[in-house]
Amino acid sequence: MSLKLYFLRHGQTAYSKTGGYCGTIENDPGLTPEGIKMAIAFADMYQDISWDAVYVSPLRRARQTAEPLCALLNIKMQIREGLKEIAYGKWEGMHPNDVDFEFHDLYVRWLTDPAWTSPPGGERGIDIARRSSDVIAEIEQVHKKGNILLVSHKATIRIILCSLMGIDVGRYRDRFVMPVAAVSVVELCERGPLFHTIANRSHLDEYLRSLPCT
Amino acid sequence: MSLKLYFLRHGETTASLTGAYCGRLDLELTPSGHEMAEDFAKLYRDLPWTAVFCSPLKRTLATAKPLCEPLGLEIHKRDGLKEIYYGKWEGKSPEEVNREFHDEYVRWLADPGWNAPTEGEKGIDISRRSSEVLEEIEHTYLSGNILIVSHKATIRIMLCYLLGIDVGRFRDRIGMPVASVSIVELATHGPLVHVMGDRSHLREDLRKRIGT
Repeated sequence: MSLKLYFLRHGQTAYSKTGGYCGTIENDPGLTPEGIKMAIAFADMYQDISWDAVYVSPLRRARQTAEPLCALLNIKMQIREGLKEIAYGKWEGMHPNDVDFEFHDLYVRWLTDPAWTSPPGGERGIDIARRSSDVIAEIEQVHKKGNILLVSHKATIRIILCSLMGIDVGRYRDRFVMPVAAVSVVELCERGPLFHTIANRSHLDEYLRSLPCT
Repeated sequence: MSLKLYFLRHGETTASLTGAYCGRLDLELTPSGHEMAEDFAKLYRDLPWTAVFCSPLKRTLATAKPLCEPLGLEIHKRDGLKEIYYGKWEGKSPEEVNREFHDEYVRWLADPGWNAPTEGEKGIDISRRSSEVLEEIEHTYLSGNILIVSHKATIRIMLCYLLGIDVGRFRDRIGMPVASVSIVELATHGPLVHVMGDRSHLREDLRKRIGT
């Protein structure tokens, strides 16, 4: 048996509806009622997998997304700072249009290469790649095999996928859509990470799938 | 509106069940393979399709048929979408190839980008011919939904090409079970993956069938 990583993006939040930037603990409103339904739908569909561990970002929306599965199966969440969302610094809580207006040149540079450019006072993609890869390394060392759930965020999951696939970190925003509650499954094989699926949302009903999100 | 590519791998064949190397060998779908094609058509027939491109082999044409025939969609056959040519390995099992062509096999497993099966095709050759089809599509259609029905190696190589992954990694990075769908939008800033390896259109017993 092999080691399989299931990456789950948190469910809907007020920010994911509007596209506002949110990364830190101070700016973490939690899931909407629909977001909670997404978390329950995940638990319903994935409860029969024999889970070996659940690693979760400390942000509220991620913990709330892991909650239904963990409560149902009595699994303890392992909270890891390395799975947090990108820190947006001065852009925290702002809408992209306002960022574009106030920080135009930096914003264009960040959009083009978010690996080596950071929002003012925020994190570069490469910083997120480093801290999240520490969590992956820990999981690889602790669990030789089994099914591991990682509940994290849009930027962080896309950056982990880039690192595992050998895609330049600076491309993460342009190569992957990662809607809320999407599941991506990567098996750590002898010859490296094998991607089984990216951004699967078949556990959501048609209504939840149809909700607009970023 | 943007240009969206839907990559569909053909349905089950006897070779996908056993894992034997099947490139130019022109196998038919199994009865389950036909059901997979029907399930795809059922879920995706309401999408406004702009065009359908398909490898000229029997298994891909049969996979495209349940969608295309009732909707009257023309199937554009392209040689560039054919499966890898396995040369002397065609029809053999991995164990046989390992025995008969050991060193070449080890090298091919480690880097199928620049190593070919004995007298067959290198990954980079497949990347070149398939990227010509993608280029043709980009030039012909500025927007819309394009279905591309192709094969396990060829689809994975196209995805590596679009994502900027070394072509030599195609076998080790991407799983691509039969009848799976991957959606890539050709967006302003390059190829954007919406979903990869999706099989949610298949009924449960088909999804659970073993095979490669």
